[in-house]
Amino acid sequence: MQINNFKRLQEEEEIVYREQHDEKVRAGLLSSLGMFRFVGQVVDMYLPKLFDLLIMAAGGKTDSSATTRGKSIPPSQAPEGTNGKRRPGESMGDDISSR
Amino acid sequence: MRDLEVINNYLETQATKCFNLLYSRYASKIYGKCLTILKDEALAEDATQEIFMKIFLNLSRFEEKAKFSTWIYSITYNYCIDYLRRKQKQENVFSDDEIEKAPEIPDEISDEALIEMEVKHLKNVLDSMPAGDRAILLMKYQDDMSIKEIADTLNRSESAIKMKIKRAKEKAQKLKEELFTHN
Repeated sequence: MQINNFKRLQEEEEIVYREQHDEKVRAGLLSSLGMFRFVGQVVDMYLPKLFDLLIMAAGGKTDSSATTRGKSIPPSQAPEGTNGKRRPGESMGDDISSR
Repeated sequence: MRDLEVINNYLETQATKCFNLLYSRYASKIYGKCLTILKDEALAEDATQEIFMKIFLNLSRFEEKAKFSTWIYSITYNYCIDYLRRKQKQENVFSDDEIEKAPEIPDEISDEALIEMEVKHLKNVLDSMPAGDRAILLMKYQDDMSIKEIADTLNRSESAIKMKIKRAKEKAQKLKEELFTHN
């Protein structure tokens, strides 16, 4: 097998990295990625609400106030056994395609 | 688990174990390249962290056209070259205006002469070379990248890369003679 000392040099540097730098860089990266994820989640959660607020402030009507999203079904109208509670993603029972 | 499976898994779940797997496979290699090009341990450590951030934040953009290793090494080399450009306020770490126009001349130095150089000597020779030459020799002999892959990474023509490799090999040989022949 042909000797390639470029690869051997790389192996030596890898050993130094694992011994001296690995933990520090890994910890720094996990913390930075965690921060990015947190900021992403905050933006995901609050940005739509901020837009709604701006639209309402400008006198418009927002999606959340115009639709029935999030409302529960009165027990009298709910399918048997569900007591009016919907599971995530479950529709209210209206098939809009039939309208 | 193959790289691509780990990437897809990470994109779906953001699981730390997928991060750890990719990190363990490549962090030390990226650090080695950064150290060889930047020649400073602290800089190489910071660069490794920033390059990994770039990789993870752009993971969804990875296309299967190239190997994952080639993709991350491209990011690594470009990061280091950009860093040196900014630091030295130097337009071209790869100054190849004349290379683009140069005729193709056969390579006189064999690959063996270079890759069989003692590790200690090789390290010294690489440290004495310009950053662009160091990077191009690593791509060719350490990462086994093809001429086309190197050309794509550095956004140069294939003939310019061939010429650049030839000149880098000549410089390495000359430096080896200067540094070690009389010892």
